[in-house]
Amino acid sequence: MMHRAAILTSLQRPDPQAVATFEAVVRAGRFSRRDLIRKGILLGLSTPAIAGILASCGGSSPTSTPGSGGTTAPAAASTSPATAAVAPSSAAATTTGTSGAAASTGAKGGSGTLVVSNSGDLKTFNPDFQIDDNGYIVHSNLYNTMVVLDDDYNIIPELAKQWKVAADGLSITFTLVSGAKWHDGQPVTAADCKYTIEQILAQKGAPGKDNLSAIKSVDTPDDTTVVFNLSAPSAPLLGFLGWYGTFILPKHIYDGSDWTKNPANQKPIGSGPFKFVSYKTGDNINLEANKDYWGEGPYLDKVIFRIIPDANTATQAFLNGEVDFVNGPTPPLSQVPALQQTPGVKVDIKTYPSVYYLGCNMKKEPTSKIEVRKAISQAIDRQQVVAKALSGFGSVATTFYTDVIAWAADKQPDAQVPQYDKAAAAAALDAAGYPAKGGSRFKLTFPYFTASPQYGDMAQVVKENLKAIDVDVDLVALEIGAWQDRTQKGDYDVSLLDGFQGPDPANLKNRVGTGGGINFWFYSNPDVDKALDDGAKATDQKTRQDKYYAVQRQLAKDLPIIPLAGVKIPRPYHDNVTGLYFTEAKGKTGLNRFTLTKVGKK
Amino acid sequence: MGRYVGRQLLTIIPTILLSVVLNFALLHAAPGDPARIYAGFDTATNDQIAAVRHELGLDKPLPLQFALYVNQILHGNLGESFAYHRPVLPVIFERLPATLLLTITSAIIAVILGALLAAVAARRTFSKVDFGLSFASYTFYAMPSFWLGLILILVFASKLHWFPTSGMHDVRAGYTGYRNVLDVGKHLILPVLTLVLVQTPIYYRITRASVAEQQREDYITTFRATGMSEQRIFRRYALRNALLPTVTVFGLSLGYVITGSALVEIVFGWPGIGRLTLDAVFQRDYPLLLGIYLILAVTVSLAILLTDLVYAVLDPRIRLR
Amino acid sequence: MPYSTRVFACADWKGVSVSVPESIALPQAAISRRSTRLRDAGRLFLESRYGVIGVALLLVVLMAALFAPLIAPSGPFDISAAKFIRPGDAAHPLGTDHLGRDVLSQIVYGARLSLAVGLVAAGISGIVGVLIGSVAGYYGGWIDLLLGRITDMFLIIPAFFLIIVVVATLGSNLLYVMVIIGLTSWPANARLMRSQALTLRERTFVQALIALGESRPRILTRHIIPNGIQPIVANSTLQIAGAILLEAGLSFLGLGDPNQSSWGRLIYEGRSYIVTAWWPSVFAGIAIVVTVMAFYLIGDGLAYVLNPRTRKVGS
Repeated sequence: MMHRAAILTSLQRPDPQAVATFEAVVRAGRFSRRDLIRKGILLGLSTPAIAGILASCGGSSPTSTPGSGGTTAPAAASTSPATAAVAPSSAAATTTGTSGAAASTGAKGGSGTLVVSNSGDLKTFNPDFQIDDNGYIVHSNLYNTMVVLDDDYNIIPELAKQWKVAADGLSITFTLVSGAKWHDGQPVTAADCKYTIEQILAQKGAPGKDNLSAIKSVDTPDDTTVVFNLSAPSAPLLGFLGWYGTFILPKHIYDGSDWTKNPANQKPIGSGPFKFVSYKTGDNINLEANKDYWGEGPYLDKVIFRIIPDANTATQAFLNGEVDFVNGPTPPLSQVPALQQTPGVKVDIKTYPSVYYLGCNMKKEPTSKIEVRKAISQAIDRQQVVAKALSGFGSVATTFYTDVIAWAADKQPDAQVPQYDKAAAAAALDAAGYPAKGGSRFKLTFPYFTASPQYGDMAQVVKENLKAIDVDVDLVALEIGAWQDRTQKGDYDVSLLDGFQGPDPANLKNRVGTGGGINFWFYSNPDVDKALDDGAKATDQKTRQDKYYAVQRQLAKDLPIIPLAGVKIPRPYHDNVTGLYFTEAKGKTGLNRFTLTKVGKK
Repeated sequence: MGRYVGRQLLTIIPTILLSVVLNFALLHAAPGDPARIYAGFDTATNDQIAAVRHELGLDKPLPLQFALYVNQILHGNLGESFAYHRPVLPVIFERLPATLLLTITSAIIAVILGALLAAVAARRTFSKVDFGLSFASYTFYAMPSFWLGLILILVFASKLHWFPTSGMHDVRAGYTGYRNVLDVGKHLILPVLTLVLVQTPIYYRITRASVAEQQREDYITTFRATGMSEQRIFRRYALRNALLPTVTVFGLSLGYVITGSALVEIVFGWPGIGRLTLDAVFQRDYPLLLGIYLILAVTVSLAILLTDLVYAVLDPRIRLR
Repeated sequence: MPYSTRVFACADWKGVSVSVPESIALPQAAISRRSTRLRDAGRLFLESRYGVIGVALLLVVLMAALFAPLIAPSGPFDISAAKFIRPGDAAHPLGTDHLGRDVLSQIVYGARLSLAVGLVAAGISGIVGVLIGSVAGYYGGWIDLLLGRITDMFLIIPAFFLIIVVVATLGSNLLYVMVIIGLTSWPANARLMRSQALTLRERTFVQALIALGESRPRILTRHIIPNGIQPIVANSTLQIAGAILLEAGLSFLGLGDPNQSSWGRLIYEGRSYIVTAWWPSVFAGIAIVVTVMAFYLIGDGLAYVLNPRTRKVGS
């Protein structure tokens, strides 16, 4: 009977008075969405009308407890780097963060759809057993980690609302938030954390495995406490824990199965602010708001990742309003000035902790000679590289480690890289026994990979710079697989690379340590290796700083890699998008999370 | 007739098999180690890479890998994609409709348009229309498809905002039902326009040339001598016979509908097989690539077979050979 | 059958080589007077409007390529100028690109690359195709069957992706590009040559030569190939055009040779900023269209010369 009445009334035009009352009720936020829709129907409103009213009210969410989002990571975090959180010598040895308590009772999700462009298909929804660069941002919204890095690479809480490092540095105790649930309704407990960490450590080839290798075992004294027992104190551990390959997965779904083949890898169950809806390969990945999210937010209805591998297409789609935020691929740097001038568009320029550098083959002449490497460093006009190849979005590099992680970058003169001095370069090569007979001293083979368009441009500038001192360069554009092959075999003279150097300078080991995963240059210096090891083991920042400074001084003497420019990444978004993790929500949410993002009217 | 078909089918199978061998050998010969790629470029240690290599089955000797693969195919299993960790066939069939929609639509429009325009021009030889159409056909035939696509996007999407720049759906709106059909249609216009503009000249030229040739056949002269009207001669005899080569080329081009639009798919961000294949090449996703090549080999062979059949039906002289 | 039907039609990169009708390639007797034939051919060619326009266009491109250093305002890789200078500038008539390189210079030097790629690739394709086709057609039997299967196989292999694999993995060296394009486009020539050889070997003069005791290979190289080669020459213009377009496509995917000025690479790089600086992409595209069109026109002119039927004036 009620139904019939409802249907009948819905066929007539709703009484304006009733609508006003309805709207007021919505704004007061005293009902769940489902109740409101039911009441709306009884009032005779059609579904689109109800949706419209809800949409116009949803964005403001007046019912969230004021200040609930404000008491996250302490202010100290923004000046001291990630490692401060672990230093036992710092006073309280406790970093307390209160993740936005689940105090808000208002309608979760809200209004608006955020469309984000992504560079490619993601491989799987299990973020922990294999590297998946294209999946990172999607995983970040489906799942949580125990701690997370914010946009400035500070460690802030996520599933773990606080943690304490033992005085001897051999254990860390985490307290998890309460009330966290998986998308299927089951509660998130310490057992899930234990299961996930153990799986990562057991899985050969898991990307997080090496980073977490200091963890000997995991204990769970109760449902919300997790204890890591370490084999040795590890300063970078917390940073790595918040970085990648460490998303907490539901034990009740994965336990007992091969987690590389579990069907949840196609239909994920996470604990994050958004739930999985659908995935069309090559086209889009569709997420919707997790109404029962344990923390503050989300304020969006849906997040859609549009898969656009081509930088130009992505930028065009962004300009035409089809995409709200370009996460990847990076817009062509030459277009960024035009983007910045476009009304309604904002471009955040992020100084990324990465440095473009020219790597030299230490095993092959002529690059095996230090005089040649020094001359190359002096021949390159880094200002021109930044101005022309990077369209001004970069900084001239003078040191080996990125300025962004300020405490570890050695700025002293003896750690500086030889800067542009064309005459000195030519003279040095003459002295080293490479005269310019017939206009050419020697030829360098320079392979680079085409995935990053900046590389091609930088290679062209370097080629012209070297041509000016009569060094011939043969450029070889390869795609990444072939490039890896070639560099591994040592079939090159110089090449170009960059890459994230955070969250901690321990990362340098991969690049310049003997046998490091991306040490394609065959560089090996036992002093450097020792200093890197000592740095990773030490726990106070001053000791670590000394060690990493020593590394950089040695690198300046040996010059296996020649830094060219610091990396800046443009992140364009439309001005009606607020609460991004690098704008208003910086420091409150982790990297790539859209938990606090809102899309307003255009 | 049945024997003719049977004979043709028999010759196709060894060809397909040979191409499988060739593709397999070529892929594995190409430098680039999939294990390293999947282990993660920036961060993998050698242990991790070895683990991944084992998981992908790449540490077995090559002939063994090949034998295993052939065995798999014979059981209807094309293997599992390295990149997606899912069976190859579903991955391919998910993307196939998008490509087929694009290429088949363009091919049909191109052949009809080309033949029509050729018929028009043939009736008015040496007129302005004839020269105009010829000039246009040369120009568009000479255009790189990706360049034309870029220009169309620049003009019609970026400057005039008449059409979307890329993709197949308006993801924000999330239409369903017939509104989805309209949405896809709207997104389809520019890519189809690009392909039609570069393909029509082929059909135009072939039809035009063969119509001209037909016009000079003796039997036409005979008809004229009997006093039949030009119109009737053209429509009933010249045009029909002239269409044979056109049909042939169209049939053969259908064999390439699957990968024939890769560049256009890139320019327009169209989520089809072309892009899937390119990504697979760059990621050394061997099973996926081999699967795509196999399907392609089968499709092309079938298209050739069908075309030969159609031709044999239309031209009895072939059958009797 | 008026047309040999094996066509390689891939819409994207114009590998379309529609073989010219068999009936038109009537070989003359071995004891021909070549010089007179050539003069007649030349005269006919001039009659064909399209052929003449084609040659004229090609001459323009050829001049640009040959005199590039004289025409170009600066070196094609010189980055000293400001970036994004608009066309119409005194020092840079067609503007500069994002690194400050002069567009006109890149286009004229790019002509060299395009012509080289076209000629070498078509040359390789022609040689391989003629050899395989003539042997298959002339000897027949199981040789023909085997070579036929191999030809079909090359038709079936997705050549575009094969080329990408090769170029992407071995490097974007121009030489590799030229060779690989040549090695994947020979089937059309092979088929043409095969049908030519099939027809020719039945001719009386060939029978006579066999009776006289000429060895088969000599007959093949001295008589069959030279007499049957005409349609392949006509088809080669299509192949040159196809090779130029294919190289542009490869450059567009970022796989072009970065040490060379290439029209495809101009489009590829210019694409990033086509909305604000349209000139590199647009001018490079126009250069491609003009050059490719020239070859198509010449090809049509040649077909006109070779086809006795189209020479009859239309009614």
